[in-house]
Amino acid sequence: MAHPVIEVQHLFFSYEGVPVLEDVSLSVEQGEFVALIGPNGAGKTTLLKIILGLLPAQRGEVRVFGKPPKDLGDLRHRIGYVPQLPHFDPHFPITLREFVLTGRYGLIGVGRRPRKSDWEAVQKALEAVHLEALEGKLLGELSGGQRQRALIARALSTEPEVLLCDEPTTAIDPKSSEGFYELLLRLKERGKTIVVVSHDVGVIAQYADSIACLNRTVFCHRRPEEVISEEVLEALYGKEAAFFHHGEIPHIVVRKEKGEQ
Amino acid sequence: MNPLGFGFMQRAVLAGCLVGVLCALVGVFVVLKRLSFMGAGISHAAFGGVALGYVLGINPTLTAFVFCILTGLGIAFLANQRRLKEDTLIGIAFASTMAFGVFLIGVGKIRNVDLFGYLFGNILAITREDLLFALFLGGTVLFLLFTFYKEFVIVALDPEGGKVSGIPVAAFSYLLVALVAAVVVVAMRLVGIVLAAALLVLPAATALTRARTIPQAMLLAVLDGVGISLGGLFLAYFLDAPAGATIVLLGTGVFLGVSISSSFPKRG
Repeated sequence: MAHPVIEVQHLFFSYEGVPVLEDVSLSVEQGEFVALIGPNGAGKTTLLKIILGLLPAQRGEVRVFGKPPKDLGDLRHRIGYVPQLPHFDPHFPITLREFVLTGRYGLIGVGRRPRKSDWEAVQKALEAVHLEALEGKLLGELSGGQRQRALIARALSTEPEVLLCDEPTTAIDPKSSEGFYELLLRLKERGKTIVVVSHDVGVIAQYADSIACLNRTVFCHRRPEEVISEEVLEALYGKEAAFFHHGEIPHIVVRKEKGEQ
Repeated sequence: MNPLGFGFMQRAVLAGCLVGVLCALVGVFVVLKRLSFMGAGISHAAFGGVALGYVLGINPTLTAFVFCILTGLGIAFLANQRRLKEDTLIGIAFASTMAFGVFLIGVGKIRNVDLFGYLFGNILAITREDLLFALFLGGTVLFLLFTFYKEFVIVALDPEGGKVSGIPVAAFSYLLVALVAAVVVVAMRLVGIVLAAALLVLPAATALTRARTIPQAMLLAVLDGVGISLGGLFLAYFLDAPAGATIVLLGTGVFLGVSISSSFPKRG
């Protein structure tokens, strides 16, 4: 029987007295593709950062591979993290190959130089995202979609079992976004557990095994077709959310916030 | 008259090479991590440290070194607490450490200090002991920089990613600040407190307009750093101009030249 890779129980978190997460419980099984959806400010990134150990759990319990995030030790390298794209200085003088290697820095060890096996792992990660031909290019010379794949390659460089992606498709065009999700599906087929944070419910519903709806608290975590109902989306995005159906999967438009689709 | 016939000029040339190399290498990370203003804040703190040394009767270079490190780490620590922004803290430290120095010199009735030399550099004042101290400090800085090269890269590129990967990024951010303090103190004797921060930024900024990778930037910055230090020294000698100011002006000229030529589209 599969055991949960990530287990969150009754988690609370607040920034300077403002509650961000309240009584969040969530469980991610091995090999599962989970989409974590919710509007902007719902606490999605905060939850991801607590799972990664970048922020502390103020109340409640978080376990990754059965351990609290801060006690993960070497298990840390079994998690790959794909941050939001605008996170980097695009003019930083680093080649794609060197950039992907930075994902292995912790594994290489403080004060140590990369070995042959590290460069081989970089090569494998680049091949997995089909960027091996561009390995000598600078990060700033890549397109948005290529840079997104570079971030995945970096996360894959430690050959992790779990991939955590934070709003991976916000800065790229729809076509690259589609390619990105296809890539995640291929990684899932190879046994990886995948958690994707997104506010884009329509697209992600086509790929995920289950969807967790977060708006300060997780109020449902089910299969996509069960989540995409009027009442769940209304609870998530408010009364003024409207649905556009496109095939079987509805796309939503939230009218409340100006200009946002 | 051969300028290298003078002992002070020989010492100044040695100091110039050392300062050129150190400022260039640490400067690349200073520019990439956007610590230029931090460098200015730390270098001004050296004045408080020098005054403290005179009042306590301790070697002022040593007190300046400790004072700069403590000021830099204090700024970095308080900025990490996120109550105040880093530039606010630097703005406060900048003026208050200078004021502290002026206050000590006034109250302590210290008359025999070459204030102008400390502020703007005095190559005549570089002693053998200064050179030995600079060599020791410089050697330590180089050792740390090369041993922890990849840790400094991740601190500048993506501290959060480094943390996820298990690198103690906070510790290396503090270490980088300590290296800046060390380099500022080494540069202080040659170009002075006020101009030291410029030498930390100019060669690196010049190199980064051309370099594709960090090792390339380090190499170009070292060439520029040593070039402007020695070029400025000899120019100052023949023009009978202050060496520190000449070095910084030469560095600025090279930076402007390279920046302007880089902005033209490449032919072919």
